[in-house]
Amino acid sequence: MDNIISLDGIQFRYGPEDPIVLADLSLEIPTGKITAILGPNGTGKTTMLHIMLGLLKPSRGGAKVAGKSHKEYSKRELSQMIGLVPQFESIPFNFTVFEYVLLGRSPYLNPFQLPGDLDLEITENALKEAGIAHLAEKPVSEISGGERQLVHISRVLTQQTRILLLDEPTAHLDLENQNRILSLLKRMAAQGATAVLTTHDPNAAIFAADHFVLMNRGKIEAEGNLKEVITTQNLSLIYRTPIRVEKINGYTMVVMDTKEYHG
Amino acid sequence: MKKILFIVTILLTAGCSVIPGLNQPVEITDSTGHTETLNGLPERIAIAGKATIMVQDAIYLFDDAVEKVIALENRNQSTYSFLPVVDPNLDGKDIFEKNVGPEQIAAVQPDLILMKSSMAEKLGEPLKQLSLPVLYLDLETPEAFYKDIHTLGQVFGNPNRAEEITEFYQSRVSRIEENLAGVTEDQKPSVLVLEYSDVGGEIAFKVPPISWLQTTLVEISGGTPVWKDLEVGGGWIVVNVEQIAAWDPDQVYIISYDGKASDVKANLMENPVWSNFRAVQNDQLFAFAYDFYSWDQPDTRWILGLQWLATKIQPELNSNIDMMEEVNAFYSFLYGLDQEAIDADVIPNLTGDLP
Amino acid sequence: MTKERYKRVLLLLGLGTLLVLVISVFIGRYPSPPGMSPRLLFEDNLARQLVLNLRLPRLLVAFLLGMILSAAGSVLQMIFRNPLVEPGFLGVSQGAAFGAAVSILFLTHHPLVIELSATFFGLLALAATYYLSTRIRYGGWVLRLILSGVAVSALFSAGVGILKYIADPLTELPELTFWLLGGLYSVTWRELLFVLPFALVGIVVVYVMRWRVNLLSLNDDTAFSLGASLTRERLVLLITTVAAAAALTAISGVISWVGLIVPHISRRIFGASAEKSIPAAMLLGGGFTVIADDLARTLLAGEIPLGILTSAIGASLFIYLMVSMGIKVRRDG
Repeated sequence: MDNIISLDGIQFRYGPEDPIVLADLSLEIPTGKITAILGPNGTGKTTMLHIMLGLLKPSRGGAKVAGKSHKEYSKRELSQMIGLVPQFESIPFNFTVFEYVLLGRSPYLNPFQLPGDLDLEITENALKEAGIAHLAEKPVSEISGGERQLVHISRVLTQQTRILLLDEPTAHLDLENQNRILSLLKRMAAQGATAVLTTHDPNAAIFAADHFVLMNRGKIEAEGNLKEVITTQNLSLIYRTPIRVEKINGYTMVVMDTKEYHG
Repeated sequence: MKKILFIVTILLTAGCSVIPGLNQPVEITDSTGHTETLNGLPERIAIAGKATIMVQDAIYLFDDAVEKVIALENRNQSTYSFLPVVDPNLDGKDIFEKNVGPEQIAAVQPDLILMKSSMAEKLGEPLKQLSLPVLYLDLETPEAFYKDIHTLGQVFGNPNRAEEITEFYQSRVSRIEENLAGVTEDQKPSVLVLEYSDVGGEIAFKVPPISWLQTTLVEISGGTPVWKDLEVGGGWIVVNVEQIAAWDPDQVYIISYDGKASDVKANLMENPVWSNFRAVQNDQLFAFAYDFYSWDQPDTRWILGLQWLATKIQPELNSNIDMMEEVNAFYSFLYGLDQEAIDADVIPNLTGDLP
Repeated sequence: MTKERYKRVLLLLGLGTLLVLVISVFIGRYPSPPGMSPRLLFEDNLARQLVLNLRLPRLLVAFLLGMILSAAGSVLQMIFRNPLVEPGFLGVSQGAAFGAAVSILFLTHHPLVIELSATFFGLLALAATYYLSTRIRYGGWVLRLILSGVAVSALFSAGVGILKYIADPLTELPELTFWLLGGLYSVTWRELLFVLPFALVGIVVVYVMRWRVNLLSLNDDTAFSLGASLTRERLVLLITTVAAAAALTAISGVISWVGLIVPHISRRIFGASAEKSIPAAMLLGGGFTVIADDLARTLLAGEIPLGILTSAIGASLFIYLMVSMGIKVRRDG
């Protein structure tokens, strides 16, 4: 299958009186690649992820996952297929990292089952994969921000899904942690997973993604590979601030123009 | 024409002030030490507040109550069980709702309000604010009772009757005291008095506070109350059956304010735990006597309760008390019922272990 | 806490609780406080009757009560992501008391009907609290739920008061202290029998779902992505545990603070994961309530309302925990 997720003519609003969040949006997510959805805050990126997840239903248009609509799958099948790392996740109770990551095995257990040795093993491996095995017994309140993101991603790793949806995975992280997260994602994609990540940071997208989507105000402005999408013209339009796309030693970078912002 | 009216009015007013009993200021001090000065004997008496039944029954010891009591509070159904027997005018009287407030009382224009002393703060004080005269009856101990009767004697302008009533009670108390003269401590059985309630399926056994009348009645009757070591005592205190077993009293008396004491006693005799109590095995479990109301309370019937207890706690020494005779004497002398009325209205209502 | 260590400590806790139960059989006012020697059981028929007919059912009900309140408290805390809630704070206990009173006054004294009425109003109260909390426009989620819980609890308590007022206050008013302060002094085997089905359902459901509860405490979108049928699973847990708590409240009166403090203590010892902390909380809660009831029926000649003891001990522990180590209430929760 070429495109594991496809959105066709999606319109979304929360209620009949509410403003339109997504307007006639069509998008294909290529299988086995990392797709970055770029755009400023508030353009509806999270809403689009939730539609891909099946949590929200579009007011108009349809979404398909692996060729079928969401309602053709059982809850169990869906949760074994798509994993989500939300932008804000609060863990109100002080689980240990291991206990929390273990929750990623939920799709494989019915509500009355306890995790078995296999589930424990998968959890351990996921922690190792993410490089945080040493944090297993630490309560989640005692780890740093970057480590937390790795914990969330480990949870999705234990979920063993083909598709990973990540909402602003590198927001609020320093450069070292951003690198760790994005490198991990690339490794997973190399093993066949499809990842969709939303971000407002073009450089993060450039580092990790194979496929780029530019969003603005609920619409898709551009879609394609790095060269096609990441241009000074496109980005300045979307971010409404002077931006330059520079190439340094064959590596593309996006920088803010030194011209000052004039509102 | 106007002039004549004017003179007649003056003369009448002057004349009224000469007739004794009318418009002579009357000063009455009740058993709590509270004094009221009234413009004459009260003609419109209202009864209100908690324990209305006890206050009523004391007031109706005087004949004039039928005419002069013009309003009463309706606390519950049992307010009506005894009153119709002694008050043929009951239907024409004002009936207050439960927990009546000072304004409604004022609305019936009483010239005296009588209530239990425990209502002084809640009801008495607000009524005083409205310049209404209030007198209190204590009723909690025999001594207070006699003082209350004296107060009522003044209220009704009938000190002779008050004397008679007091004599009736005191002679009977003296008889018991004489019967029990010389009784030693170890001749006194240990006694437990329990109120039984099963409201809403919650079965509770409660003992009265040490200061209450029930405790005094047991002591006068020649018994030793086992609950004297209870540390607390605001109202009835719940005790569990284990504590009852630990006390192991010689005698147990069951009070039921619903009039079910006999049924409760019958059930307890069959109960696997209770049937092992010494008191039950010796047939010393008694249902407290009851006619319209239970005889254990600070009601006029306390004298019946006392004598009944005496015949149960110290039967040989009190063999000169005939309970049925006492019931007749009580209702005929104190409430003016003839034998026919007693047989028709009182005797059928008797429950408990009588005689 | 590793699995092995957990098993060991839980076993210890179980043995400790069993010990508390066994010792409690011999604690009481008969023949004199603090209790009797086991020998008396063989020699004294009255002692035997007391233990078999009164103490045993009362102990068992106290134990069940503690288990259920702790289970319900744990479930409420996790599902509402709020460590400061329990059945007594969210109106459940007061609603149950109201329901029981309604049944007694207007329907029937049959224990089953009383229990069902209590369960109905207990659940109604929870629904009202939840609905109200979504409408309050003040404070964060944790605060909003507590505020509406306080309001709904007060309403149902007042309701009980009003019902008692309609019925004759001269002979029935003392019972108000039973409803609002609790007491197990009239418990016999009959009460235990009628409450047992409700209790067992609640305990079994919570026990088999003890791992799943963790999932239900996460963000809605995360939990959805992990395959939870959120509404259905949460409702199953809530309804069964809250119904059990309400059914027990119908015979015990309102008992507060157990459902709040025991889950906290359990989490502190066994970790936050419900899989470990909920079974432990049930044992701890059961033992705690049995001890409190031992005090209620033995300390003084007169019965001390059980709710007074659980409040005194529970609230003191709560203050201590809040002040010394701080119950962590996450701001983003």
